[in-house]
Amino acid sequence: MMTYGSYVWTAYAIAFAVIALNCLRSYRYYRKVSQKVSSHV
Amino acid sequence: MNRVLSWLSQWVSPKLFFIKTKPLMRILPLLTFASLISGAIWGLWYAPADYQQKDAFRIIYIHVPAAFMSMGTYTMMSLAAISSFIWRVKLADLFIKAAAPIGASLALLALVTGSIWGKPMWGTWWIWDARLTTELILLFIYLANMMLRTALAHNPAQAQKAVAAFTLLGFVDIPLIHFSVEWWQTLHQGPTLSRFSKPSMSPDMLWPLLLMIAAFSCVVFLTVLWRLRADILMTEKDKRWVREEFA
Repeated sequence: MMTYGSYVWTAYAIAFAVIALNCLRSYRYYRKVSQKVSSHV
Repeated sequence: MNRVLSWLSQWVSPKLFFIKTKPLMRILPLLTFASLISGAIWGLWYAPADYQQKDAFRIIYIHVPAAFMSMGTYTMMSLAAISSFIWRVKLADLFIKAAAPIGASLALLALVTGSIWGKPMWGTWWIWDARLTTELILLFIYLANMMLRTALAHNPAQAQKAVAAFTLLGFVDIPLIHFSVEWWQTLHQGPTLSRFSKPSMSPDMLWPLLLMIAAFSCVVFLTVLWRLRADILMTEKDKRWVREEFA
């Protein structure tokens, strides 16, 4: 049993959500732009 | 000297930068995922609990890397700002644009995870302590940096100059954050990683922390590279090399 478990899990859940969101948004931005540019050329 | 200049030139040319970083985009997502998962497992289950803070100390494995990289990202932005301001290097300006939202999210993450750690240890979610306040100022500097670019979007040349100058001014906050725990009396603990020869942590606890810092560095490089490469494509879309890339 982890002491202060709820604090630890909440912090990790927020951290991984922020990282996943950053990765997803950056990747989607790259995909969107490269599709736009490939249709432009 | 000529070899150094030609090596440097490949990193300031958008075309060469885009082509040279292409292979990285295959390895970096895997490396990021593997280091994050292994670092988190090591920190959560295999690193020993602290004798005073018990398991709450495990928040260090996300809080310190987030804070470290929020400062590291701003330092890289400041270096880019020098080349953007003095030599008008377009790629440096694009780097500042790509890195600012990532750095802002890490500064916010450092504040939120620090607050979650502070509640059970200090008995409060927030206190106007020197370290916390200077990190909050860093978040505001990131936000102001992005707002300044948006406000001057109608004049890209002026935006490049103004953002570079603002980024350099904002760098003042980085040493303030670092030395805040030494210069002022604070609730925040002293530096953990400033002395590698004599760290204030046991190696069992230190190694997973170093792995998580490497993992967060990978996250920054991966996300900034995706954004930067997209912005390079946008600004260079009428160039021949872009047409050849997509042919």
